[in-house]
This record gives sequence, C-alpha cells and structure tokens, in this order.
Amino acid sequence: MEPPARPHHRLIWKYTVVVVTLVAAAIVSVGVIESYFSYQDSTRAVTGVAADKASSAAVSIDQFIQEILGDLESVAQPTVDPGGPERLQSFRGLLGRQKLVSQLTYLDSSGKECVRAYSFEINQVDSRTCGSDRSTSQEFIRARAEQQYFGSVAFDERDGRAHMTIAVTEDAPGEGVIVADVDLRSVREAIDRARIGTAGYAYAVDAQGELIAHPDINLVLAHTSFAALPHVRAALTGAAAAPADVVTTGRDPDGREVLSAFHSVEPPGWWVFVEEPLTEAFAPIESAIWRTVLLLVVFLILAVVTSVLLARNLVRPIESIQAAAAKIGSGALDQRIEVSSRDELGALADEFNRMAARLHTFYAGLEQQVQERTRELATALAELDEKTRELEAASHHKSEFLANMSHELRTPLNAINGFSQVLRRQLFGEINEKQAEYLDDILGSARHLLSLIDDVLDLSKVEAGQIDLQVAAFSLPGALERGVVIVRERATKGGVRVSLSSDPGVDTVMGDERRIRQVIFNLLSNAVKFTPAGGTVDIAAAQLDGEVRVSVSDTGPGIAPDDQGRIFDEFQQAAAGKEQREGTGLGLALSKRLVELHGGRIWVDSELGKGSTFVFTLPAQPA
Amino acid sequence: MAGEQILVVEDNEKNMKLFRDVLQATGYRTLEASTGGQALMLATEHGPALVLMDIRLPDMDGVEALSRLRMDERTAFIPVLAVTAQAMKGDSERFKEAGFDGYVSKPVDIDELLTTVEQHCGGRGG
Repeated sequence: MEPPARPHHRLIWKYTVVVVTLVAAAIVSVGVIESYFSYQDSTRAVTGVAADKASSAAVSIDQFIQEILGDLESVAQPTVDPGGPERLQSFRGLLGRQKLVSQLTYLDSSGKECVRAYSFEINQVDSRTCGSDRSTSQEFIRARAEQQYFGSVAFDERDGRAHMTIAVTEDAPGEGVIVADVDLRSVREAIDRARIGTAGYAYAVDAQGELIAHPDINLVLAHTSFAALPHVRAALTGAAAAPADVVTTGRDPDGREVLSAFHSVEPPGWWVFVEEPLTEAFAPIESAIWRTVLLLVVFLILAVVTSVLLARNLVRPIESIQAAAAKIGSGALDQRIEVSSRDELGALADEFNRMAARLHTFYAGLEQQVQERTRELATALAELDEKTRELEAASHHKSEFLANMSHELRTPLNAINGFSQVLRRQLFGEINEKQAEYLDDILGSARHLLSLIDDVLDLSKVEAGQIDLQVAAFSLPGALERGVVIVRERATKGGVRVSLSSDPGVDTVMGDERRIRQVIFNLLSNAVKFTPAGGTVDIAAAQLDGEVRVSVSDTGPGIAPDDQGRIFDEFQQAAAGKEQREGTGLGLALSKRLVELHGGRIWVDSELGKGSTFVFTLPAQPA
Repeated sequence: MAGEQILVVEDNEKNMKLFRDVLQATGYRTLEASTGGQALMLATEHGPALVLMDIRLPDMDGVEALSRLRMDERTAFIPVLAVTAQAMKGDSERFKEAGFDGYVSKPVDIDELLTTVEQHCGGRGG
C-alpha cells in the first residue's frame, strides 16, 4: 500500500526566502548603520563648518576692533598740551594711516571738545579748541568710567554705511577722552565672508539683539531686532553659553528652520551668527542617505535574483533526482539521472544511477531466470504429458491385452467346462463314481480358473482407472446379509458358524453396491476358507467417528505380522493361503483398491493362532 | 420343444461341437455357421426358431450380424441370444441394449444355457 501523499512545498521557495532574508538583513543593517554614522559625521562636518565660520568672523571682527583700539591707544598718549598741535599731529597721522577711522575728537578731562580731525577732509582741523562741552555725553561718561566705550551702530542715510563711535580714555594724567567715528565696513566684510553654502548667511547683532550687519541691508537700516528669535535670545542671555550649544537650530524671521552657529565679539558685546537653512545644510546628508537607499534597493534586487538563481541551481539537481526516482519507482528501470554538478548532489546522483543500474541488472537477471524456469517447466510439463500419454497408451494396451486374454482363456474354458458338465450330467451314458469325482474336480478347477481370470481383469481395470463407481444409496445391512447367504453353504459344509450383527444406526450408505458386495463377499469367503471346523466367523457393522466400519472376524490361524502388510499386494498370500493352494491372491488387493476408490481404508488386526479381523471403512455420508 | 431349429453361430470347432451335441441331445435341430455371413444366409434360408450368436466372429462383429438380421424382415423377428466370452461386468446390459433377446456368458453352464434356450424358443418375447 502506498503511503498517503504529503503536501510538498517547493524547496526553491524555501531556499529563496532564507537567502533573501539573510542578504536583505545584512544589507539593510549595514545600510542603516552606515547611514547613521555618515549622518553623524556629516552633521558634525556641517555644524563644524558653521561654527568655524562664525568663530573666524568673530575673530576677524575682534581683530578689527582690537586694531582700532590699538590705533586709538596710540593717539591716547598724554601730551603737554592736551589740545595742542601735538595731539592734532598724532590725529592726522592716524587718520592718514587708518582709513576706517573717519573722525577723531579729543575731549579734555572736563568734557570740552578740544581737537577734531576729519579724514575726508584730510588735515582739516576744527579749531574750536576746547569749545563745546560734551561732558554729559555717553561717550565721555562711559569712557571715563570703563576706559572704553562702544557706541551704538549708526548708518549713513545716503549710502547705508555703518559706523559707530568708539571712545577711549587718555592715558593718565590728563584723562581726556578720545572719540573716534569708525567705519564698520570690515564688520560687513567679515559677515559677508562668513556666509556658507548658497542659501546660508551670516549676521551680527549687538548686545540688545539689534542687527549690526546683515546681507539684507534694509533689515539693518530698519533697526530690526532679532532678540525675539529664541536661539538669538538664548545666545544673548547666556543660556547657550555651553560650547556644545554653540551650534543649534532655530528659525529665521521667515520661520524657516536653520542651522545656527554663533560666536561673541567681546568687546563690544556683539554676536556673530552664521546660519544656513536646514534644507540646504542637510541636503548632502539627505542625498547620501538616498544614495544609500538606492544602492540598498539595487543590492536587494540583486540579492533576490542571485538567490533565486542559486536556489534553482541547488534545487534543479534535487528535482531531477526526484523525477528520476519517481520514474524508476514506477518501473522505468533504465531511467538515469543527469546531474553534472561535481558536488554531493552529483555524488548522490551517481550513487542513485549505480543503484538503478544494479536494480536493472538484477531485475533483468530475475526475468531471465523466470523465463528459463518457465521454459524448463514447460519442457517438464511436455515431457510429463508425453509420459502420461505413453502411460495411458500402455495402460490401454494392457487393458486390451487383458480383455483379449480373458476372451481367449474363456473360449477353451467353455469347452472344458461344457464337456465336463455334459459328461457329469450323463447326457451320453452312465459314468462310474470315480469318473464323476474327477469331473467334479475338473469343474472346480475350471471355476477357480474363471475367478482368477475375472479378478485379474477387475484389478487391471481398477489400476487403469477404468472403473466408474455407480454410486447410489443402498442398504448396508442388506448387502451384509446377501454376503452371508452366499458363503453359508460352504461354511455349513466346513463346520463354521457365521453370525451377523449390525448396529441399529447403520442403515443406508452411499457407494457402488455391487463393488461393496464384492468386498464383503471376498472378506467373508476368505474368513470361511481359513477357519477350521468348529470355528466362527462374525461380520459386524458399526457407526464410529462419522464413518461406517465393517469388520469380519474369524477364529482361523491368524496372520504373522510380517505378512500383514503384504497380503493386500497382488499375488501375495499368507502362509495359510499358500498351504491351501486355493484363492487367486488377488482378492484382497482388489478389495483394497475398491475400498480406497470409495475413500475408505482397509486393514487387518491379527495374531498368529488367535484369528484375524479384517476391517474396512466407508467415509461418512453427507446427511 | 418338438425339434425346433436353432442356428448356432460359433467359430470355435470344439465349442460348436459342444453346443450342437447338447442341443441335439435335448431334442433340437441345429444349423451351424462359423461366420457372420454364413449365419445371415442360413437364417434367411431356413428361418430358425432361435439364433445363438457368438460375438467375436472372423468376418464381422456379432452385434453387426444382429443388426443385419433385424434389418431383413424375414429374419427380424427371430430371437437372438448372445453367447460370448466377453463376460466383463456390464456386458450383459450392453448386449441387451444392442438388441439381443438374451445373454449367456462363456464358459456356459449347460443347465443355464438350456433354460435360456427353452425360454426364447417360442418366438421373440416368449
């Protein structure tokens, strides 16, 4: 019986799914990690650039401020005459040297303006020496208090140029104040230099958050304040003083998100901001990420295709092995697997082919053997047939011969018997006693000869299988009685008592009545023949173990054990029979054959000197 | 019984002599034939009261001789007894089926023979 077919899943999909999963997992994780770190690096780089720009702009502004301060220090040396020509001389030197200072004023310790020099009118000197009083001005008071003063940034109405007032105190002992009007184009330049990218920009605000420099000059002129922007405010209030917060994100006035780096310029307490819209700042990072994603997808597709191909290469030999196995299983023993790979699968296919070849050879051998045996059997059967025909022919010849012989023997026997009877009946004249006795002997011998001929004929017919039993129901007790009647005369003559006993259960049996009577008569006549005068012969029938058993017992000489087996063979007689020189020696052999033809058995129980019991059985009859 | 004529068909001389002597001694007249052909001729010619027919004859089978007798209206009603050494069991039935009126097996018992002959001498079925 074939095992129930299990559902088969395709190996190729299993392999593909496993390989694709592995490869995709590897590629995706590498891509994600790579992207993360590259994002980090890029962010650091971008913010680094912004911070550097902010720092360098702040430094250059600071340098500019320091340079101006240094210049002012150089003309702040006390002079003998604070407002004298010596001061004027030094002012003229500075104005000639430093183009970004456009006006220098000297206020004496009481706040009176003593010297004023302009660069645009070189060497023009306002000679209102120690004239107007500026002692209440911011520059005078703050400079006297803090050594230095930085005024607010002002713009030229005409060209928008930024300038501011810077004041320093005179070195002791005069303690006057030198006030300079400084052109701030350097600040503007530094701011312009600090712009990054294409959309990036830089600007500077003062301590109050008001714009000092910005690419959009209108914002500057409008005195726009950025103090409201959270990241600017954070810087101004010092909440973002920590170095890590030097770069931050915020929103510009238009609300765009920007990366913002800032740096202070101290003094004068300004802040430089370098900003870039996040969209631009992170554009390279984004494009790098998109590149990575694109590569990832490409590699993923490659991985899928590769793994499908790989799986197919892996699975195809297995499939062809499976297909070949199925074909061999269904009887195509000459099927071979074509697997060319030089690996374990190839080895498996080779082994499989070897196995199939051996199976094929073995099977072919088996078939050949079967054919040979069949031929031999056919030959043997033909021989047997031939022998059977020969035997049948021989048997037929034998029967024919016996029939002929019977006929040929009976013809002269007819004359012998007939003439003897004629004489014995004295049809043609009287005979004497002796002659009558001899004629009786002749007639007895003739009868003996006739029974001999009959028995031989019967036996040969039985052996040739030419006897057809005329099977019918008949009364067994009746048959026994008739047998007894036939032998009674002779028994009485010999002084032998014959008795019959039959079980009440024994009645009708199935069989060939004439043949059974022949057996009964044979056994009875034998018993009477061998029982001496005064003896008894008992015939009995009984039902036993489903078979009918007929036994004939006598008080004769008995049969030696050696003879008991032989007496059922043809022409074999026990010692007693030979002595009597009577009987054909065929009766028991014939009886045995007849009983066996009926499916029964016949045997003898005997002991020398104690008589014999011959028993035959007839098989149970169907109810 | 009074001198009825019986045709004896028998090819064995000794047996012929036996049958002839016994029948004549009993008071019958006999006709003798040693072949089937002779038997047919004599039967036609003389119209015997009974035929004792041997089965194995030199020229033809006794059964065939019988059927020829039956075919000739002059001899069709003559009773015919089979007298044969083919005395196997079942033969007597076979001969009666073949059309014989009676059957006597060899070796014959003289008394039986004479009884049977007397029974059939009065004509067929007698």
